[in-house]
Amino acid sequence: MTYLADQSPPSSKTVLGRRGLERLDLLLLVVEALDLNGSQGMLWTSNKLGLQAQFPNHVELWKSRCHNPLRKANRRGPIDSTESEALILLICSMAERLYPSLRQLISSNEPSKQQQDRWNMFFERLLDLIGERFNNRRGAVQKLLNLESTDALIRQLIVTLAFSAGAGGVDRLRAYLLDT
Amino acid sequence: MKVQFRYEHNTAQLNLEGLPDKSLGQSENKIGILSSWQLKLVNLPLLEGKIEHLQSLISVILPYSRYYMSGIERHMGDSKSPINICTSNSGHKITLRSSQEGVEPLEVTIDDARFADLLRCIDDVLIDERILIKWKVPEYLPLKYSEKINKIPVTIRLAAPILGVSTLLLFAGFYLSLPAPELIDKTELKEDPNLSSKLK
Repeated sequence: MTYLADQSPPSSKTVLGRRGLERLDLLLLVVEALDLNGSQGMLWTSNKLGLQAQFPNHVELWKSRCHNPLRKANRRGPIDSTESEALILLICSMAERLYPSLRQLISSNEPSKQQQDRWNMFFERLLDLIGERFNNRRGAVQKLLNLESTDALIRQLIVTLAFSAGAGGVDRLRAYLLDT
Repeated sequence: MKVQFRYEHNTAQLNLEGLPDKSLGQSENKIGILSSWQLKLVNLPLLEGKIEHLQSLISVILPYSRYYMSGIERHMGDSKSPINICTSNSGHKITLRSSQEGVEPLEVTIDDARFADLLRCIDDVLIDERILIKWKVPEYLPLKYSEKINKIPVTIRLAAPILGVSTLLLFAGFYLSLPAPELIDKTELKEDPNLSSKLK
């Protein structure tokens, strides 16, 4: 187990499957839904982590994320292991940064009215992002856009992000994304 | 001289107290021998114990968090284990069993947010270079399909094969219920011109 700052540059072999790629991109979308300047924040964080070689600009970051088969403009073939490791590091670092917001969303001690408002705002933004970037003709995307069926999944993603923060977060998230 | 370290994340605070192991040449401000630990969770009873309890806490919390991330709610720890954890309606129920006889087990239930705080405290302990204790840390491994399938209800798991078999049986039954076409001997057609004209 190592701290995020000690993990650059990534070198281990992580070959993500189709489901892993979908979850990875969804987690990044959740980050964007939580942080209004999410995409800018991701680039800034990747530079801070020493990932300039993998993501020198927005376009390269976007291209890596396009390996998700649910995207409108998706790239065929598996993602490079260095790139997937870099994305995992990036998610964990963003989770660390957004930990207070994540915590608020999953806490049962927050006032229920405020909690509901927070969830509604977050859901609205996330569903907008999914509708904008994912291929709406696919059944899996339509299922994601259905509020009733997607509620538990989104909560699971928030918990996953919260558990990805901290020193052991990278190992936990990597194992989660490699689930078969 | 006793050394104390504190790991804190929002509502969770983990305090470790111990000594450097001088026989191994450990320097000051290190813990090689853990004498006690305390886990303070805001508004909940204090959990404390010895090194075996903390080792047990690490051994159950880490794999539990891994399964929980994948949406699997597992009971970790057995009846003999000092620490158990399972999912309850209101969150994660942690049970601490005392090694002394006649002491009732202590139970605390925490929500996802508090569990995340506790997990971060444990992560901090495990990476702290000042703690020179060799912990048995369970490795995070990807879950196999067979492990994940248990979370899918039996009705949903069996729906597709049942639907497939019943469709096959339905079509087979329908096909078998159709009357078989009558076999006509061609020689009869040649001999009986009336039959031939009827068929036309």
